Amino acid sequence: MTTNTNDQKIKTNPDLDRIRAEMQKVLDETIEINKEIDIVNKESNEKVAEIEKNVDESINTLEGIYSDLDKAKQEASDKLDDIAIEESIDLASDE
Amino acid sequence: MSSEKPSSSDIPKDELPPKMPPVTEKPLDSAPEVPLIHDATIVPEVPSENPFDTYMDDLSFKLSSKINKAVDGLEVVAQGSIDAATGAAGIAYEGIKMGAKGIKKGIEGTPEAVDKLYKGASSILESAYKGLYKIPGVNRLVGKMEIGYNQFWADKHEEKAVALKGEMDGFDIRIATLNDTERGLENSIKELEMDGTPGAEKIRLKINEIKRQKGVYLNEKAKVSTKLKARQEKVGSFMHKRDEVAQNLKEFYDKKLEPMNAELDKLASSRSELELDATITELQHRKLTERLDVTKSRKAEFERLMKATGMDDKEISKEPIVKQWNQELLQGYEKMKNEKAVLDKKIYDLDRKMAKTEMKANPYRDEREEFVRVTQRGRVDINVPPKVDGKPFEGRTDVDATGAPLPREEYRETTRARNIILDESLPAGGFAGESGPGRGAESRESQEDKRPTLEAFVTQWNMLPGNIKNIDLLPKIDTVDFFKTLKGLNKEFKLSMPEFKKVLTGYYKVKGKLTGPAKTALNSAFTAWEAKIRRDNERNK
Repeated sequence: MTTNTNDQKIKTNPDLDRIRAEMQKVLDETIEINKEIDIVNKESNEKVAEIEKNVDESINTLEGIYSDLDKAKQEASDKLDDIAIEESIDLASDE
Repeated sequence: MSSEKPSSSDIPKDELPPKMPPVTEKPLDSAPEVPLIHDATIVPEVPSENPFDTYMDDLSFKLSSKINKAVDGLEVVAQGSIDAATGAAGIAYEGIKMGAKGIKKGIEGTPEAVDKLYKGASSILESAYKGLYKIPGVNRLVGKMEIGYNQFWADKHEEKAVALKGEMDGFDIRIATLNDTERGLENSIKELEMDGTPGAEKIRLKINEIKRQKGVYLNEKAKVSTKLKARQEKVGSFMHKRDEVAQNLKEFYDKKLEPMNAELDKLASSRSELELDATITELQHRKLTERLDVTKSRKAEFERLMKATGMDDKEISKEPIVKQWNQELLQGYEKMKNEKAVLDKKIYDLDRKMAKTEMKANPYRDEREEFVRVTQRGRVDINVPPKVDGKPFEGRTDVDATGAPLPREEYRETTRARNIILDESLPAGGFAGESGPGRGAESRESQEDKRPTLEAFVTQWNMLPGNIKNIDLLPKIDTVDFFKTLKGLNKEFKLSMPEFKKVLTGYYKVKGKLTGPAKTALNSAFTAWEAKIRRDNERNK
C-alpha cells in the first residue's frame, strides 16, 4: 500500500513503520549530538574570546612598556652622543 | 701662542664688532645645504647610503650645531693667531654650555679656526665611533656605552695632558735659566760694588726685567697647571656623565622589567589556557565524531532493513527520515570541521601575536645585563649573566629555526603523528587487564567503552611511584580543581593514554607547574607508565 504525503510516495507496511520508529529514535540521538556540538563550539568560542581579550590586554601593556623602554633607550643614546660630541670638542679645542 | 689670547676686559668697548648674524639650526632629518658656521668653510659631505656614514653625518651636524651655538654668542674681536682662535672657540663653547656667556673670546675674521675645531672634533668623534655601525647585529646603545668606557678617550686625554705637562716643563726650564742669569747678574753687581766700579744700576734694571719675565712665565705656568688640572677633572666628569646615563637607564629598566615579566607570565598563562582549551575541544569533537559515526552506521543498518522490505535505493533516499538524518550527519561533521578551522586560525593568530610580543622582551632583558656589564668593566669580571627574572625564557617548541611559530596545522600534525605512534604501540585500552588482543574485530563503540575514564587516569597518576626524578615537582592532582579547570571534560570522559598526557600537560601548564625539570619528569613518568602497561599486557597474553 502507498500514500502520498508532501508529493512524496511513501511505502507503508507494519515492518517499515517499526523500522521508521526505531530510526526516529536514533535520528533524535543524532539531533541531540548536533545540539551538543553547538554547545561545545559555543563554549570553546567563548573561552577563546575571553583568552583573546586577556591576550590583547597583555600585549597592549607590554607594547606600552616596550615603547617606554625604547624611548628611554633613544634618550640615553642621544645623551651618549652629546657626551661624545662634547668630549670631542673639548679635546679638539686644546690643539 | 695660546697664552696671548685676548680677554674682553683688555679690549675697549668701542672696538667690539657687531654681533655675528644668528645661525639657523636645521632639523636633523633634513639634508644640510649651507655651511653651518656663518663664514667658516664647513661644507657637509653628501649623505651616504652607508649606515655608519649616515649616522656620522647626523652626528657631524649635531657637532657643528653645538659649535655654531657657541660661536653665535661671541662678541669680541679676535686678535690672536688661528691656533689661539681655535682654542677660543672651544673655550667659548664650554662657556656657553656652562651658562657663562660672559666668556668673550673672539674669533671674528678667523673662520679657519672654527673650521679647524670642527674638523678636529669630527675626526676624534669618527675615530671613537669607528666600527659601531660596521658590525651587523651589534647593539648600538651598548656599543656606545662601550665606547664611553674604552681606552680611546683616556688615551686622547692623556695625549693632551702630556702636551700640557711638556708646556709646564718648558716654563720650568726657562725660569731656571732666568734664575741662573739673575744669580750671575747679582754676583756681577757685588763684584762691581766691591771694586767700586760704576754700572751696577744698569745691571739692577736688567735683574728687574728678568724678575718681570719670570713673573710672566710663572703666571703662564700657573695657567697651564690649571688647564692640566681641569683636564684631569674633565676625564672624570665625562666618565661620570656616562655613568649617570647608564645608571639612570638601568634603573628605568629595573622599574619596567618587573611589570614586563609579570605581564609575560600572564601571557604565558593565557597561552597555556588556550592550548588546554584546544585540547579539550579536540577531545570533545573526537568523542562527538565517534558518536556521529555510530549513528551513521546505525542508519546504514536501517537502510539495509528497508531494502529487505522491498524498497530500492532511490526510494530509501527519498524517505524523509533518511533525508533528515543525512542532513543532520552532514551538518554535524561540517560544524565540527568548520569550528576546528576557525579555532585553529584563531589559535594560530593568537599564538603568533603572543610569540612575537614575547620574543621582543628578550633583548630588553639582555640589554639591562649589558648595561651592568659595560659600566662595571674592569671592576668586576662577569661571565654569562643570568636572566633578570632568574628563570630562562622558555622558547616555544612549535617555532621554526627563525623563531617564527609553525603554522598551527603543522604543529598539530606533528603532535597527532606522535599520538598515533603511541596509540599503535599500546593496547587501545591503556591499562593492564582492561584490554586484550583481537580488539580490531570489535565495534568502535565497544572500543570506546574499553578506554579508561579520565577519573581512572587521574587516580592512577596520583598513585604513580615517587621514584621518578623530579616527580615531586608535579603535585598530585586535586580532582576537584582538575575537573573544574577542565570544564567540558567530565570524570566519565573516556580517553587514550596519549590524550590523557596531553590533557595533563595542559593542566600542569595552566597551573604553572610545568617548568623545565618538571616537564622532563612528566615525560619520564609516562614512559615508565607505558612500559609497565606493555609488560603487564605481555604477561596477560
